[in-house]
This record gives sequence, C-alpha cells and structure tokens, in this order.
Amino acid sequence: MPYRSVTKPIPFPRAFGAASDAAILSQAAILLLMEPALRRDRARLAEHRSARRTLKVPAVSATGRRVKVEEVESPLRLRPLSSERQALPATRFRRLASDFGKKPNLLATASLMEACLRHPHPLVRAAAAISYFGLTSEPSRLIGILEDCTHNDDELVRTVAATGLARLAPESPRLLELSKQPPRRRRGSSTHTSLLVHGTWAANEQWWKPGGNFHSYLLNGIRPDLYANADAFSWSGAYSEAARAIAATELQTWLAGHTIQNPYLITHSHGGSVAMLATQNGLNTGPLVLLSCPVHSIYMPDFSRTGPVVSIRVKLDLVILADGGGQKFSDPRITEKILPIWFDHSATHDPAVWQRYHLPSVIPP
Amino acid sequence: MRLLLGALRLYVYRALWYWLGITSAGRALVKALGSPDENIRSIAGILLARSGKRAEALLLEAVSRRENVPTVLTVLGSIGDRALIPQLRQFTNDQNPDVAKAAREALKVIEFSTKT
Repeated sequence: MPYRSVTKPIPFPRAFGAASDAAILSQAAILLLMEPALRRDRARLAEHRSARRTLKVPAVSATGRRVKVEEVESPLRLRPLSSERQALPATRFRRLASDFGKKPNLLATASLMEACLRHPHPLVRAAAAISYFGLTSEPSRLIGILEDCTHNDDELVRTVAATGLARLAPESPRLLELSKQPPRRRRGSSTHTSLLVHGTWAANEQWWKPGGNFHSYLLNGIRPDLYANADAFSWSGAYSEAARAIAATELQTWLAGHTIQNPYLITHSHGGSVAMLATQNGLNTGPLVLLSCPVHSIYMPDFSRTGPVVSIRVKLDLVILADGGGQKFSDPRITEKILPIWFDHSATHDPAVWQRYHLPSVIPP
Repeated sequence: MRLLLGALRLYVYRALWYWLGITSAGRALVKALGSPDENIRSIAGILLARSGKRAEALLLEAVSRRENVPTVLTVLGSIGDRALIPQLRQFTNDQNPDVAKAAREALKVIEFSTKT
C-alpha cells in the first residue's frame, strides 16, 4: 500500500484529526518521536530536535512511573485489548490529542497512546505500541499488536512493527519466522548478496544495521538482496591500521561462514578501506561502492578481484580532513561522484541525499 | 556552517589540551564523543586516537564516569597500548552488551597491534 509522498507533514495535534496519508504518517511519526522523551534518551532527543519542532511534538516530562492500564481504560471506556478489536471514531483521537496538547502530562500521554492502540490504521497502532511500551504498566499486551502488524500487507507497517519487536521483544518467535523468509530478489538483478560495511566509530550506530534508516532505504527498492539478518557483519570500528587489518580478515571469515560469494559491497568511510584490504587478501567481490572513503595508498582494491568500483563523496569532507586521508581517488578505474554538499561525512549514508541526487542510478546494477 | 564551526572548535580544544596542557579542553574533546552529530563524534575520536598515550588519562577518566563508554573504549583500543589491557578486561563482562563488545574488540585490536 504505497503512501502519497508527504511534502508537508501535519503537526500535532492537527494530524490526529485527519485520515489522509500525510495525517497517518504524521501521527505515527509523532507517536514515535514521543518515545525518546519517555525513555529520557537525551541523545535521541537531540538527534530528532528538528523533526520534533516541525511536527510540534509535545514535550513530556518522564518520571519513570508506569501508568496503570485501568487508569486510562476505564475513563476512556476502552475495551481491553484482549477482547474483540474496538474501532474508535476519528473524533476521539482528535479530542485526546487536543487534551494532551493542553495538558501534556503522563496520564494524557498514556490516554492518547492507549486509544491509538485501537486506531483503525495499523501503522498508528504499531507506532503507539512501540512508544507506549515503556509507559504502560502492562507492556506485554503490546507485543501481540506488533506481531499482528508484521503480517500486514503494507511494507511500512511490517517494517516498523518488526523493528519495534526486534528492540522490545527480541525473543518473539515471530522474528525468527521473519528471518527465515527467503531473501527477495529484484527482477533482472544480479545474484549478489549485498552487504553494508560501516566505518570508524560506527559499530554502535543504527543507520547501517537491519532496521536502520540507510539499511531500510537500500533494502526497500535499491538493493533488495541486502543482507538483513540480525547477525549482519560488523567490526570494531577502531581507528587504527591494526583494527582495519583484523576487520578485513573477519569480513572474509564472515562471508565464508555465510557462504556468500562475490558480495556487492556498500561501504562507508574506513569500511571501504576494510573492503579494499580484504580484496588484497584474496576476497573476490562484486561491485564495490565507497561512500566518503578516505584515500590512503595502502588501501586500494585489487581490481582483478572486484567488480566496478564507485566512490561517492562530498566536497572537503571534514572527517577525512581529520583522518589525514586524501579526498579523491586518482585511479581512473574508480568512478568518482562528487556531491554538491560540503563538509558532511555522514551525508553519503543519508537516504534523503540518495533520493535528492539520484544516487541509485550512480551505483552499479 | 555549524558543522564547520563545531569541527574548528574541536581542533581548538585539542590544541589547548595537547600543547598547553589545559585539561578542561581535553575533557570537552572527550565529551564530543557523545555529540549527536556523527561528524563531530568522528573528528573527536580521530583527534583523541591520534594523540596516542597522552589521551589515555582523559579517556580512562571518562570511562570511570561511564561517559560514552563504548566509544571511549574503542578509542582506547585504537591507541593500542598494552598497558591498558587490565582496565579493558574489566569491561568484557559489563552488563551493557555494547560496552562488553567494545571492550572485547578493543582488546583484540591491542593484542593484534602488539603482535604485528
């Protein structure tokens, strides 16, 4: 079920009074953006500051207290989730959002989220289940909602629900089922398995992991063969030649262990150095995409072992400047794509940048 | 422009700490490892790792305060000093799996560095 592109998201509380695609997506985003505040996750709050401002997400002061289900179910006359699904009219959500906007306390938050668990749209139900998990006194009720949403026809609903499940209930048998599904292949595409290799300091970043924003962007259309199981390849992310040497060996071992041959490698930063070093050690790869990769003479691919090599970078990358590496490959066998963006090392793994500059057409098929 | 200024600030912190011995500037550099901006985190990490053993005291201090522990342990691993092995070992069974993993990876890098 594709959604219409949203050029202007609908802010809180107005989003909860409509049922258009933009309203549904905005409602889900608002609910998900409330979650870092409930967890008091300052880093995530800072990361999403701009989005929170655009969507006018109310600030909630979390106290660590969980709200009892009966505190919200009874006043709202909501039937328990275990009973038959209760369809609430759109006016209820508008009113609850409006009340919450006037008095953004934990009870109002819980009331809106509890009601949204009964929302007619599954995306809003999944988003509410994720955000409400840390606030309700009975979070186990929400796992069923997420599991149910992973069966939905809408890919976005499935992805959001599976990501939530992986984080909140990693032991769910539904996740095991999902990971056993055969990999989807794009019609007419190569038979490579694609792999994302992160760079320095990025071992704990989310963007490259299954469910992360860049991983999801690539998987949903660009590289449907992208490796998406939870044991995705990762390395220390340490900043030394030794760390990269270990990582190159580990990459070869990991690929052999997963019987993946000639992988299509999409790498960021020194993840590219790791991949190139692995080819020097005898790894055969398919196409190699280097995103914001610093240029060091010791890290060059063995071109006899790789497919086409494409480097995508920004102008005067500040992280590469600190690294002391070169900004541009001079070997004509590496196709360079320089984006009209300055300084930002992370721009090359930003899905918005990929869309804006049509990067899917720049990388090899 | 904000990114450029943020990066320049890190170079100033590094110079004040490394060349003039101003510890508070060094602490600010370590604190930048937890910046919400990936560029700032990366530059801070590189500047600290390139400072070698001189950065160890600041980094261990951050670890003792449980400040950005996985990244700080990764920077310590990058420095590659064998003398840090006992401190890093203490974290290999940390309750936070990210911390435990970062400690194990850092130990692996140090052991490899010293072998080669």
